[in-house]
Amino acid sequence: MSQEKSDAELIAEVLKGNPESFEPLVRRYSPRLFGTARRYARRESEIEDIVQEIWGKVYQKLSSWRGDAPFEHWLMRTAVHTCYDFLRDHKRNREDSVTDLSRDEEDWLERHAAAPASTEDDSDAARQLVQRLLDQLSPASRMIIILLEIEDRSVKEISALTGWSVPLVKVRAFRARAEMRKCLKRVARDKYL
Amino acid sequence: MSLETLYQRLLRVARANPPSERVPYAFEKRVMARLILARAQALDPWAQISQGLWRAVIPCFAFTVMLFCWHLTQATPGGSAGESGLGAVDDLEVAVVDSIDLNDSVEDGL
Repeated sequence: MSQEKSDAELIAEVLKGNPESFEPLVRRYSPRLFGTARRYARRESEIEDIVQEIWGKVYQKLSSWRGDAPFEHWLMRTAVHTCYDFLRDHKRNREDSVTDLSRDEEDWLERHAAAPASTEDDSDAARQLVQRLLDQLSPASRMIIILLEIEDRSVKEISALTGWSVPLVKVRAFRARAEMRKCLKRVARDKYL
Repeated sequence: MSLETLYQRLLRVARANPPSERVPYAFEKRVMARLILARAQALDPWAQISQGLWRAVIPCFAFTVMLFCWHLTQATPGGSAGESGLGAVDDLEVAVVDSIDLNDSVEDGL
């Protein structure tokens, strides 16, 4: 069965002129790509467009995959580049203000300020607050925070994924953390300072 | 409570809540349909010819402009050459006239 074939076998078949062999790859890796794209975009239509664009790029450049690294790594590099391009194209749509918090977010912050242990990690308010902060960051800072702080990747891994040099990743990480703290300061000034 | 604690707490929230990996229904079918359509368009000879012609528009236009500029630069020295050519004819005429000894010819005739 084609589902049992390895990535390399499927790719070889596609390159021989059998495009149907690409479908098992799409089925195999789309969940991972959707998970990645959902970190960078909110609307489902945008997320689907990003993943479709990733597959379009991968299909076009399939002959450039040399097989010395796993297909998944190569795919994730394309995914990260596409997500970064998406952030740059939509940076004008970033929210103007982080001060307009919802009532739930305000409540979560107040409860956290009073008794941190009483607040839950999996509440919608906390998730929305994180999303709101990430929406405020520049494309490069958002990407670094997601890869370094949230996905817990190493600087070297980020360098391989983004194509940025290791020193550039470190500089951008420093700036991203400062930017994130600045946004947080604006949100929680009256409660924490 | 410091901001640093809040910062670390929010990062923990983000780590604890990874986004869903749900794939929309029949997504792979849509992707394949799109890729196969794009491939068919790429293999269609008429589409390729028209694409090639469209791509050739800008280089052809640039070549036309370059030819026009070259023609202008060539025409200007050519024009001055024409004038200088006329000047040369005038000079030749003067030289010929000067070379004719009018007195000699009159005397010969007489």
